[in-house]
Amino acid sequence: MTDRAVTGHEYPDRLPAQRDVALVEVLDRALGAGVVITGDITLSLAEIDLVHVSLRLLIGSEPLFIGEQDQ
Amino acid sequence: MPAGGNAAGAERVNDSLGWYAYCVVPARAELTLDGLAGVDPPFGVEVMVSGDVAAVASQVRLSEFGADALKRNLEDRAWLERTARAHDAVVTRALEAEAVVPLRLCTIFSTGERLLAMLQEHEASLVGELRRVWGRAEWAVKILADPASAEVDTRADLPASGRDYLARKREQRSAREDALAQIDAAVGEAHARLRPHAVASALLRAQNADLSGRRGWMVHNGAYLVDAGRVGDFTAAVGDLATELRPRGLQVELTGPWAPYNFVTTGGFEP
Repeated sequence: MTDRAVTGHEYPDRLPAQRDVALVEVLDRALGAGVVITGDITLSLAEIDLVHVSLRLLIGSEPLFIGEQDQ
Repeated sequence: MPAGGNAAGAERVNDSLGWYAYCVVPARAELTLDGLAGVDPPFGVEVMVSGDVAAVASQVRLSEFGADALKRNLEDRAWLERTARAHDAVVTRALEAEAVVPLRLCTIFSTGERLLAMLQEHEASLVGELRRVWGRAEWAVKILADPASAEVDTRADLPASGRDYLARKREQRSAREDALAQIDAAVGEAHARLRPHAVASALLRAQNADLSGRRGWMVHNGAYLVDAGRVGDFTAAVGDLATELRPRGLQVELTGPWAPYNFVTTGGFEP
């Protein structure tokens, strides 16, 4: 098993805190999830939906599951 | 106060700045943000408080993060990678707070006042989101299967006849279906064993293999919202699962903690 647990406390230097996780993991989350609140800058990007950017990158193979949430 | 100054040695035209918001935390959160780089490297990360909530935010140059620049930069894979990783690094650091509500990449305001106005407008909804993820983080468990394990060619010799050929095809298909059914059962069991250790779970789509560079099928991509106090139990359960599934040709991967990206509302809020 690969355990890649890291915390935010490991990066004392002034560097972007790069975790050893795949870019696709980060993009799935930062582009595909999280709360959408339109800032006034992002609002003016009406023609570009950020999700479209992510889909261009992420679409390629058929998804095996559709995301679903259970509580 | 933005840390850092102009790019070393370069003469810079006065560059308009905006505010990039990474996530929302409780107003009284104590975070160590010294030395953490923002998405725009000249600027560090700060907390902007409004009532009971606060936004973790950075200044950004509009020459990089303004509307026109974003259209260009979001298509630039290297820029996107740097920005997304810097974004996630800040959001993950914010896990020091009792609760984090991550915002989508590139939530940008032309002024600090507009950012604060947003917080004020949505304060009640944001407090609700913070409560749902209080003391919790997201952990991701993936299971990968080797496609070769489902392709079983039982005979080395050539088929003796057309009927023989067809019979072998049926056998192969049947063996393949059995293998897939077993994988499916293993995944169902795995999720059923992990689910009780979490407050909530989300089944995510399999990651794009071209982007991830993985070989093999991703047969499970689960996100689990786990209380801080239950992380030990959860990771132990994942470890047990990995041990049991390895001889069955299935690989288990754990990453985390992540801020609860998959457990906050992804829609906009009601005004």
